[in-house]
This record gives sequence, C-alpha cells and structure tokens, in this order.
Amino acid sequence: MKVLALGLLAVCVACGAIVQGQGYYGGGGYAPYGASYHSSTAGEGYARGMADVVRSAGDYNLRTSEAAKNYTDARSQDLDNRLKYTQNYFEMRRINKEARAAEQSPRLSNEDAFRMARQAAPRPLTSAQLDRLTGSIDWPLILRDPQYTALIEPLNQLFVERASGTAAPDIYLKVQKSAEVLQAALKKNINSYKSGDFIAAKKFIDSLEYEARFPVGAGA
Amino acid sequence: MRVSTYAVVFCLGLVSARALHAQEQDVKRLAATLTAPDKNERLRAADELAEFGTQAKAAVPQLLTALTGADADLRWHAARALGAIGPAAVEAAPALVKALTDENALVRAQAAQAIGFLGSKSPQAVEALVTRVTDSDARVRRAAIAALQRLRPGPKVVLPLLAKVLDDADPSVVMPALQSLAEVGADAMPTLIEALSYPGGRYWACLVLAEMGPKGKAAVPALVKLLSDKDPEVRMQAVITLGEIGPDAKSAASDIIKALSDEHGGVRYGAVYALAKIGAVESLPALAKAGAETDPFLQVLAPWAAAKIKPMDEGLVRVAVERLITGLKSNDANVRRAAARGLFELGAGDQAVAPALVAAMEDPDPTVQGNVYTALASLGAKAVPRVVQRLKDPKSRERALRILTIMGPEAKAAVPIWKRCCGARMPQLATRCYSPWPRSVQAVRPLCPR
Repeated sequence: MKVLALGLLAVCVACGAIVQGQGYYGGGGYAPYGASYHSSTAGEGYARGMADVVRSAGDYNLRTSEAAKNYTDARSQDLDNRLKYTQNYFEMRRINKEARAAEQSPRLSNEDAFRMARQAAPRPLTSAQLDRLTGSIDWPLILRDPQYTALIEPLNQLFVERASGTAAPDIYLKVQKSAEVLQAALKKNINSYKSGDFIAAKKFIDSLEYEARFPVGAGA
Repeated sequence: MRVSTYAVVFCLGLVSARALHAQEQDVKRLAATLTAPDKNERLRAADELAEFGTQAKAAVPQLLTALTGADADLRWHAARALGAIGPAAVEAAPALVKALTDENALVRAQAAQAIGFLGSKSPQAVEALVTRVTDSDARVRRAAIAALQRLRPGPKVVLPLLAKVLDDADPSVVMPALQSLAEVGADAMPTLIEALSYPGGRYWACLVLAEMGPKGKAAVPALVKLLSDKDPEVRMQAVITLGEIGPDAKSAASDIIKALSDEHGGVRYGAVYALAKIGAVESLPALAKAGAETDPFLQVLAPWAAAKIKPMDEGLVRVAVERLITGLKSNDANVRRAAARGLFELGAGDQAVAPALVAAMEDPDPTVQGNVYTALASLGAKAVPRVVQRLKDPKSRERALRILTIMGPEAKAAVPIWKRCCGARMPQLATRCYSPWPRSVQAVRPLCPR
C-alpha cells in the first residue's frame, strides 16, 4: 500500500515537472491568484472618490455643452476616445493597486485557501491561441464550424479592442456574456463531438473569459 | 521495500525520458515543417513550436531562417514563436533587432514583443526598441514600449522617451507610457512637468500628477498656466490636479477662484473641488456665489466645498447637508452621485442623513448606489437598525446585505435578524459572504451563519 502511495506521489511529481516544462508566454497580466478585481460597471470603477465624481460630471457637461454641439465629428470622436482612455487609466491603476494590496495582505486562512482552490484559474492561453499583441484568436477546430461564426465574432471583436487598448473597462462583462452564449451553444451539440474535443473547446472558452478579467497592458 | 521504491523511481524515470524524447522528436518534426511547401503547414508549425515554449529551443536555427524568409506571415509567426521560447532563444536577439526594420509592421511588432520576452538588454536591442517607439504603426509603438517596460533599461533611457510618447496622437500608445510614469512615481516629476508643455501630452500628464497627489507640488506653476489652456478638458484636468495636490497648491488659489467663472461647467466643477481640497478660506464668498447658480451640480458641490473648508462652522455644514440630502432626489445621476459621495466625505452624523440615504438605496444608477452604500456604511452602528428594516423586504434584502457587509463587525446587531429573514432559504446570500474579496471576507465573518 505504502509503495503504491509512494508511486502515485512520484507520478504526480514527474507529471508536474513535465507540464511545468511546457511553459507559456505572453502572461497578459494574470493576477497572482484567481480573483477578479473588476468593478461591476465601467462607471462604478470611475466614480469612486469625489475627484472622480467631479471628473465624470465635468466630462458629461463638456460633451453636452452648446460649444460641443458645434464640434466636428472627428473632434467628438477624439474626445470620446480620450474619455474612454481616461476611464481605462484610472480603472487599471485601481486594479494594480488592489492587486498589490492583495499581495501584501496576510497569509490566507485554510478556509480561504480551500475556497480559492475551488475557483482554480483556467490554464492561460498560449501566444498562438490568443495573440495578445493583436488580439487575434486561433479557435479550436470545432468552434470554427459555421454554426458558431456569429457567436465567436463578438469575442473576436472584443479581444481586438482589448489588444489595442480601446476596450471599455467593463470589457470583462461583455466577454463573459458572449462566452456564456457560446458555451451554451457548444453544450447543445455535446453529443456530436468526441469528449476530448468538447472538453478542449470548453476549456478554451473558459481560458478566454478568464483572460479578459485582467487588463492587457498590466503584464505584457 | 527499498527495492520496490527503486523500481518505481526507475520506471518513472523511464516514462519521463520517453516523454522527453517524444517531445524532442515533435520539435524536430515541427522545425522541419517550417520549410514545408504548404504555407498553412509552415504557419501551423511555427505556432505549435510556440506552444512548446522553452522546450522548442532546438528549433531556434530553423525559426531564425523563417524570420528572414520571403514570406511575411511566416516571419511574424516565427518572431512570435521565438518570443515564446523566451530567454532560451537569446541567440535570436540580433536577428530580431534586425526584424525591427522589416517592411511589414506586424513583423516589426512581433519582433519588438519577442525582444522583451527574450530579456535581451543589449544596448543595440534597447536602442532599436527606442527608435520603434515612434514607428508609424501603433501596434509597433505599443509593443516597443511594452518591451522596454519589460527590459527596464533604466530611467535615463526610458523617462525622456515617455514624455514624447505622451504627445502621441493615439491614446493606445499613450496608455502604456502613462502606466509606466505612474509606476515610477516621484522620480518621474521632471518628465511629467516637461509633458505638461506638450499640446498632446498635457492632458495625460495631468492624470498621472493627480494620482500622485501632494507629491506633485513641483508641478503647481505649470498647472496654473494650463488654467488658461484653450482646451476646456485640459483646464478641467489641470484644476482637479491642483486640488489633488492639496494645501501645497495654495499659491494657485486666486487662479482657481478665477476658474469659477470659466465658460465651461466642467471647469467650474473642477475649480470648486480644488478649492475644497486646498482649503482656500478666501474662496468662501466665491463658492457661495457658485452655489447660487442654476446648475444643480454646483448647487450641491459648492456648499459641500464650503463645509469641507470650514468643517467646524455649523452653519456651513448644515446648509451643505441640506443641499446634499436634496441632491439625493435629483433627476440627474451625476448630482445624486455627488450628493451621496459628499455626505460620506463630510462624515455628517445629522439625524436626517440616514433616512435619506436608506431611501436612496434603491437608486437605479449603480454608481449612485455604490456611493450610497459607502455613505451608509460610514454611519456605522447607528445606521444598522434602518438597514436591518430593509432586510425584511425581499426586494431590498440583497442591497441591505451589501451595506452590512461593508460595515463588517459594526453590523453584528443585524445577525439574528438576518438569520431569521434569510438563513438557509437564501443560499446565494450566504455564498456572497465568501466572495473573492479577501479583505471584506475578514470583515463579514461575524455576519455569516455557521
């Protein structure tokens, strides 16, 4: 019995070593543990202190003023972009600060560790699966089926926006919603696929959704 | 017994060796496929090699050949794969540096990113990346900045560069530079002050300086100049930044008071906020005038500012609390948000505050809700009975629980009622207590049923 246990332990260690050897790159800003730092909405992250409240009201005022009505389309677009990036900037700063604070927090209790282990993070996508520079996604074969085209298109678009930094801070919520729809469609066809293919596609979507929790600029 | 152990270890070693051997064979096969006649096969081989990461080191020579080949798509796939191999492919650095001048922008972008992952800090690599920071393609500029952030060649190289990047017309390029400057902190002050003189950079530099708060006091004169900038958004950010610097920006008070008459409301809002944060007593008459304007946001913000400047003046505080409570019922979400936040920041314990905030709990705007929750939670134990009343209403229960959660141990009086109202019948609420927000978990434990 003892030999068997020792053998199993050794197998685990050996497998771990092999898997570890594979490595991945691109990081893409994964947090040190499986927690999300996102606000529930873009505005929520942006309007926390009084300065943010004032900034938000001021932006609204400037955009709805009489003078703003005479702006050219290009000028309006520039201003909208600037606002979007301003929100992104403060949201990312807040996320970074919270992540640092979490890193410096006391050691986890057993209860917390157990809870977090249950929420184990999905495996990060490789650079070939998700190119973090361009946002292009290399979908698993079964998800390239024409029946999923309309469902993967929003995700393609969201990740391109994310890579270029033009995504709104609540991009995670949009990705989550699109991923849920895709998962549901995939699940309906579960009997049409080999179990390995189905699991790989499902895990791919999980990883994609998890990736969107973190700002692309945080790590890469 | 010992023999059995050795046998198991031997078998495992054998299995591992076979796995490694198979992996080596795969890498060899994929490396050979990089020259296959079919283009898709070549690209797929490069991608699969990337998935092997460090284990694909043996394929570096073939990837280098692909990097200099005629097929542009294969060149960028190869650059990406070399980046995936990481420091083990450091011999590829000179070729990647050369690829930074490739005619294809995607090749240049992937090469820049790969150099960052290789960790090659050679002067040639750093210099080449610096030149790419002004590339005509935004993806290349972003990748070059990210690579320099990763390589950390030192502030002397990076900081002057970042000031110029802030002047870039494309915000997606500005953003990484902004993050870097914010991370550098006080050492970035000269760069930020320089950026305040660039037409495209001054807006962004204000954001970083605002975040630095009092540490940004050296920028006060440059920020005061921006109060007459032709762009109202710059004026607004500059005045808010002066406010964030706080009492050290007192020398700017007279200029900020002038900004109270700016033609744009957003700048006036910023000026009111700044005067409150600076504590400019001389601005009280001007603030009273601003509070009498027809703008509902100023009607709430200006009395709040006056009360912040003189918190011991009961008359000013009373007027502010009244206006803020009225503001909670405004049709304008911005006004409601400011009212809730203002009540929290004033810390007013007025008897009328708790009922007004409890009534505002149902606000349809989530940002208003968030500020109402914070304000209610800050009232502590004395607000608990009113919040607990809401626990009894299934429609308000979840919101009430959120507030009690923020209050933490101060809300322990709510536990028996919560158990009675929700208990096992509301498992989703029990789960909420163990949400992945580590600090709040500590605080709400006393509230959670065992």
